[in-house]
Amino acid sequence: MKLKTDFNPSLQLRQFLISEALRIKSTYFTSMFSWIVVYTLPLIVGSLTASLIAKATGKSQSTELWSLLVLIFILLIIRSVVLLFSLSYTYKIIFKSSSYLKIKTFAGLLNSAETLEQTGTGEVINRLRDDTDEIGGLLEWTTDLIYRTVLTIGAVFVLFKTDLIMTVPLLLLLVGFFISTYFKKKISFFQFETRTQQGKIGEMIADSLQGIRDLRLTGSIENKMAQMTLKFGDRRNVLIRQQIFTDLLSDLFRNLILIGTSIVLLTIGLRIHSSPFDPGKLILFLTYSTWLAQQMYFFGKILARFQRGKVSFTRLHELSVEDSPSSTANLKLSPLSELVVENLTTLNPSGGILNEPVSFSLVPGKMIAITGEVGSGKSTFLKTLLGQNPAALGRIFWNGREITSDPNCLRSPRVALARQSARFLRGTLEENITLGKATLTQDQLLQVMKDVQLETNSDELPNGLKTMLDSGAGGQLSGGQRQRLALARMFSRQADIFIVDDCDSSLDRTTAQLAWKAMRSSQPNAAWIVVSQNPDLLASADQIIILNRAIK
Amino acid sequence: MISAYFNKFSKSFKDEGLNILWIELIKVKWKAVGSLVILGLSILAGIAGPAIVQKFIDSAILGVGSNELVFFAYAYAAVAIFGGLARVASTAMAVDTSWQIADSLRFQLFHRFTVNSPVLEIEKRPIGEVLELVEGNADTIGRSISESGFRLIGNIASTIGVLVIIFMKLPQTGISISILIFLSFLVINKLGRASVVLWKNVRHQKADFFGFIGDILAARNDLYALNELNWAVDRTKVLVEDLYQKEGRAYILARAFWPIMQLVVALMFGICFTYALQELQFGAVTIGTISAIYLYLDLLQKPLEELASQAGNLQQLRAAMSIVAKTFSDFVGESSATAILPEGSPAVKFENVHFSYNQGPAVLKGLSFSIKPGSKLGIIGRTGSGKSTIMNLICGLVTPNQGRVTIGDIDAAKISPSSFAKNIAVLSQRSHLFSSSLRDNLTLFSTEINDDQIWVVMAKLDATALIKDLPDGLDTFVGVGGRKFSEGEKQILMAARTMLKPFGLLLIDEATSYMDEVLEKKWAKLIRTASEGRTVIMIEHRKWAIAEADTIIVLEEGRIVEQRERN
Repeated sequence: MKLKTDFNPSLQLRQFLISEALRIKSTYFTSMFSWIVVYTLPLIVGSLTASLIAKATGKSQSTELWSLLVLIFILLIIRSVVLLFSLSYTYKIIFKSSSYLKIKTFAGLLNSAETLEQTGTGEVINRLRDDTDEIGGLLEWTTDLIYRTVLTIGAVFVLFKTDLIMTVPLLLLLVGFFISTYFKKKISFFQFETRTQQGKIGEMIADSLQGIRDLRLTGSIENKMAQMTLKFGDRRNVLIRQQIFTDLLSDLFRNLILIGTSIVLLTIGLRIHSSPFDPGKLILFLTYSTWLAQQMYFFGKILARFQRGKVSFTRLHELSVEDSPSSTANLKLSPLSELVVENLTTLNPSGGILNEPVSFSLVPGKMIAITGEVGSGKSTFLKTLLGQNPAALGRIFWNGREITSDPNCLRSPRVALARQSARFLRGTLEENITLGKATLTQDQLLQVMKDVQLETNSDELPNGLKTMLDSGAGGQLSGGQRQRLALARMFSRQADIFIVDDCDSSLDRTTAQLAWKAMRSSQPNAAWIVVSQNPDLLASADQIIILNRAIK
Repeated sequence: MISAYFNKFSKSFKDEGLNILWIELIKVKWKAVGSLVILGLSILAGIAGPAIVQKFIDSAILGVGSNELVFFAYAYAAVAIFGGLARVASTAMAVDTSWQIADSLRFQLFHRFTVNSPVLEIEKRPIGEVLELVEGNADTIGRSISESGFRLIGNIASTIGVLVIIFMKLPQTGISISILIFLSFLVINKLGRASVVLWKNVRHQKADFFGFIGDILAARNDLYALNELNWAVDRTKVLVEDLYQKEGRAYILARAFWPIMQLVVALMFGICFTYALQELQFGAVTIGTISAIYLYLDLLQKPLEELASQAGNLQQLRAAMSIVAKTFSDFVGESSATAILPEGSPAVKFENVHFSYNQGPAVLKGLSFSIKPGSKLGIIGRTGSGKSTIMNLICGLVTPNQGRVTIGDIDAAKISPSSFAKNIAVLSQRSHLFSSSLRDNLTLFSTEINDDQIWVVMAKLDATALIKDLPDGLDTFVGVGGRKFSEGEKQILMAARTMLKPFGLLLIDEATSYMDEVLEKKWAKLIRTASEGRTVIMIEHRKWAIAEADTIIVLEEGRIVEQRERN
């Protein structure tokens, strides 16, 4: 998939992490502070215990000794409490940032029909689930950065002061930075591969589920499963490689310090006759180099996680190009007096057109019917009219004002659409029609149902508005019920123009006639644009536009 | 032999999820053992390093020769390099083993769900929900085993080791420490159980959440046109908030292991030191012992910290495994559909069939009809008259509440899926265009159909241009991310797919709703010529589509109101 803008993942991810840390700053810094407490308390306890033991040796059997013991005990209990607190803040950071990303990406994705068509449900869900969690986890790791950096600088400083030979491991660390670029590249590459494979598997599962009836009834399901097993193996291969390089990078600096330590030991061994051995210095060196190694492990690991985060961030960025749905742009349109369409058509990438140019003028109360053979571009024309095809050619005027270039104009509350092959959500019939709109009264709802010929107290819908619908195509509904439900969803909204894309093809003649009659008389001032093959409807339309297959 | 023993052992788990996990573990037992051994070596290398340094210092103070010190330095380097390599190797092996287990479970989950559960059930479930069931659970399993499974064993071993040493150093405090550990074990166990329950709820909630997301993605274009995208986003926010609360509780409860153990360490510190300081007066313990106990308590920190996150992972693993076990028991593999259809065109018979979905209102009320082998039946009726239910019954997707539905005298639901697929072609409203090449979509991944056959069928539908206009022809990728077709064009392709398959019985369910009149007539003609001598059942609401039928049945509210023969 192409990225629409110049995109620098590492810069953008860094910026995102900073802005996200600031967005939830109270959580972020509380977490940072409480973890510092968790990790500093043992140091305090250590030195207190040392002095306790020292005092006990002095046989100073006093209250001082006991109060010291009580103090240490209390500090340990405090650590336990602070731990619980820190853990809950860790969770808050991970969840808040990953769900912020989920919603942001989802909202952006909904705004772009094109991206969604290119990506598919399985892939999108995979990205929304895993890539956001990856970045949430990364952000949480950054809370350790500050105090670990302080510890590292401290350790380096002590090493410098000890002895010149003792700084050998530090030189090796510089070499490590050169090696790390190689590992970083590898991690990015294999993480990208892993995530791509994961997305594909998700998509394959979704695709198989959508076609389950075909697969089962034709006995192709096992073939499909076999194909999928191969994909599982492919993914495992790249996953293991990604893991190996992540580990190599995480361990790189720590291993270099270990090697540095052995060089120091070697030098001491070789020089033992010329320079006297100072055990104090060596122990100091070992203490601090071990400590440094621990910190370096953290830095290596966060470097590796950052590489993975970059891949995830890019994948999310691909889904969400714009910021959020812009849906208020159309509110300024005045009520319809005339809609004029002039030579509206759609270009295809190779230079031809997808449908014959269409021109008409529509005024309230009138109906325009569009018909034509399969593949003549009827649905394409509606999509273009609604501003969802960027490659549109021609002009659209609303009450004389040109709105051609604005994709958001022809929408609710001016226009309502019933799409061909409409989709529904799992929930009650009422929820599916109102979609959260509290303004619709029960009476209005029932009237709409009556208009579209969905009888709420019949065998067809025994539970009336409370009938539960399945997701997607509304599994248990027949084709005709689905079309009437799509009509109901459209008709329950206030609109100047109702646009219907082939929603009577599965209705029998009588039902279709009754529905059209009821809808038109229920809103006599509404204008209609209807795609249909239904002869009765074509006969009752004020104007018929016949589309022929365009030269593609 | 070893496997047999292991299998016997696995029966002893009360928890079905653990049983399944154990069976999976046995499948990869050598890899698992291998990665445990390498993990052990890497831990040993970690311990050996400081020991060598200790030797080095002691020797240097004693004033031994340069050679011996150089030897220790080399030994240190060797151990360091070996340890580094062993660490990488052991995680790589752990990842390999655990994801193999996860993928095996993933396959079984998906297989059980798609092959063993009723088609109508699958079609009802939101895709996002199933994805979460299959992918979400399998990923959780893979991740938690690879991150925790193997290291957990190491950490438990070192924790127990340290506790035993403290016990031995100060046996007098032994009883109180034992009680303490026993109590903490009880608490942790209880919390663990509670957390598994919470995690299970979280997994279900996540399935709901992604189910909703998937629904919205599918309905995106509807919502866009109705200007309701913001509603969808707001609703998502509410669901996320709910998930945040629920998952938060599960997370904290799972990680509470660490603070609790920290509390235990504090109490142990208190007990040991109070006792030791008192004993010190009488000279029963030495300062050395006290220092040692402190060092050991300190040594507990690291494995405890790691155990804390591993315990959390483990509870997620158990929750996921119990969902796996539930899925396995819900969709048992055994099927009674084993009957084989005879070759050729069968008769189809409905004998006084009554049917309703899930105790709902009756959809079919005593339906009876039969068609002779090789003849063509058209069923028409108003929307909601029960036409699609007839199709579901013939396809064996549902069984009648009363009466019989038979194909060639065999109950439709008893026909084995492979025999059904071999003899019967179905063109339904729900036919799907897969994300694959156009050729794959027409042949449905079968290699027995060649391109010439495809062109012949497309020509009969007068639709060769549909493919010829595409730059890549039959190799064109369709579906997600590929070439899009209009609903009418899709129906042409689905019709062609059906006609490419050899069949004795052809079932057509409202497959031409988006076709224009001219095309629909061509289709009707194609059916007649292509299905010469074969049984055909067509369900339509428009009369012209079934012009070629020998018999026409008119259905109304689950009953036949009219039956006409063509003469």
